[in-house]
Amino acid sequence: MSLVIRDLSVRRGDLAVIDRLDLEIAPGEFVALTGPSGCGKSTLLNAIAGLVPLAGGAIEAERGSLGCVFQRPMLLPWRTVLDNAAFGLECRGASVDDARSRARTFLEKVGLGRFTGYFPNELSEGMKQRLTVARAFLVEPRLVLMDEPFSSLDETARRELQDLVLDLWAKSKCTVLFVSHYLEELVYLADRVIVLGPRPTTVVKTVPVQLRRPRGIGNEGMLGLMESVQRCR
Amino acid sequence: MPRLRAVADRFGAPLSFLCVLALWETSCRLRWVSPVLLSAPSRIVASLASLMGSGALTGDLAATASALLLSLAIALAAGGALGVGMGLSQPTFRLIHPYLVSLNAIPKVALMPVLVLWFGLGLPPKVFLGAFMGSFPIAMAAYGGVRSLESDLLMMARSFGAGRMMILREVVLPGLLPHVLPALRVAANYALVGVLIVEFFAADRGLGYRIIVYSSNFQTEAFFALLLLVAAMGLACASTVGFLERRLVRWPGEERA
Repeated sequence: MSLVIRDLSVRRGDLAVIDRLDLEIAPGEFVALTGPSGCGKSTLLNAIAGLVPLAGGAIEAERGSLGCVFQRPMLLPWRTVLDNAAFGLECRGASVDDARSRARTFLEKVGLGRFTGYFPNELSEGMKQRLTVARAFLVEPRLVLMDEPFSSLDETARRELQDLVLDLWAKSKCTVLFVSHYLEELVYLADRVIVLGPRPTTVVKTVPVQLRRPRGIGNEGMLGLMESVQRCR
Repeated sequence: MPRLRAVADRFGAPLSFLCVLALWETSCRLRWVSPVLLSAPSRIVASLASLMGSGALTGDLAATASALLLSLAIALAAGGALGVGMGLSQPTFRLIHPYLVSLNAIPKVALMPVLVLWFGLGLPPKVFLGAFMGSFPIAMAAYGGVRSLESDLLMMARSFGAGRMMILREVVLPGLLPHVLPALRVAANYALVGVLIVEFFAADRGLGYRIIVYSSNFQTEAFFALLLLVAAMGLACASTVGFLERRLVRWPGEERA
């Protein structure tokens, strides 16, 4: 699914957070967003998800087939791993039994099959975020919005989850919009890195990442691209 | 020394209770205290057993218990709805909270004359006052529960397209349980007091009515037996809510609170 944003403005009270932003993302594209803290990256994702009102402009996206992964896991502490994974499907109208059955199969695929009966507080941070990634992709989204999902994780867990996201993205052929501050993460994951400016935010530069996958961390091409993204921030 | 402390920790409370009982029993048996003013614990328990065994209290117990259960059900529904409403909307909070706090500050006994005028005698005034007194702790706990619910969780549910009912059923209500259930213990005691107040003044049956009858007739043993029964009812309510809490709030960790 393509995502087209035209002339988008979002305000928080009197404060203009996003000002006349234009953005176009092709179906199946993996796009990373970066920019200074507080520039409105999360607000942009929330606007696309329909969670904040628009002050102007338009977003053309199919909201019904949306998966979100937030910075914090946002798991329901009273639901088990299985029921948390199934939550998105239940929201979309699936029966509890059907949602659970599909969630169980999916959790096996993402390495959480042994933990279906656990509660979120019994999981490590990495496993919690793995679960939220599973919950988002389980609804068979055509657009996935990810807001700094791995920023609180250690290097190993982050690398594992980045590879999991790439794997799920490749299989589902969905469009991904991924916000991050980590240069390496941006260039490792995305087809294109969009650098946003300070608030009220607009697009400062777009850096295409034309590297073959799988990408090796620290190879010359990646380092060069990381430098060019860094120069724009 | 640590061993002595462990023994004191384990047996201190029951031993002190037994000491108080022994002193009480002795002072009554040796007539240090007039039997009109205070009955011996053994005689109170015997009187309670006799009253319960003869069936003399069955109707009163049923009247109080049914009024209490009805009061609590209404308090839970009304207090819960008010609390959730206040928690979800600041204008609603600003509108309702001052009334709640000021009404809660009114001495409830002072309401008795108007309650009789409004509702007459019998079940309705008991249920009204019981529900009125029980609603406040539930409303405040539900309000606190909604406010402490992470707004992020609501946002997450909305991002998946959850409707209002789904959010209420799967996010708000489970999140409220750890807050509302402890408040329900307090509310049960408040509601019991409310029901008893009405029975003292405007009823012809119920434990409150019977307490006043025995007290007026200087039937001290029976009077204290009924106080013991009321205390047992309060304990039973707290235990039932505790059981519900253990069954319904089973997830671990700090996110529960």
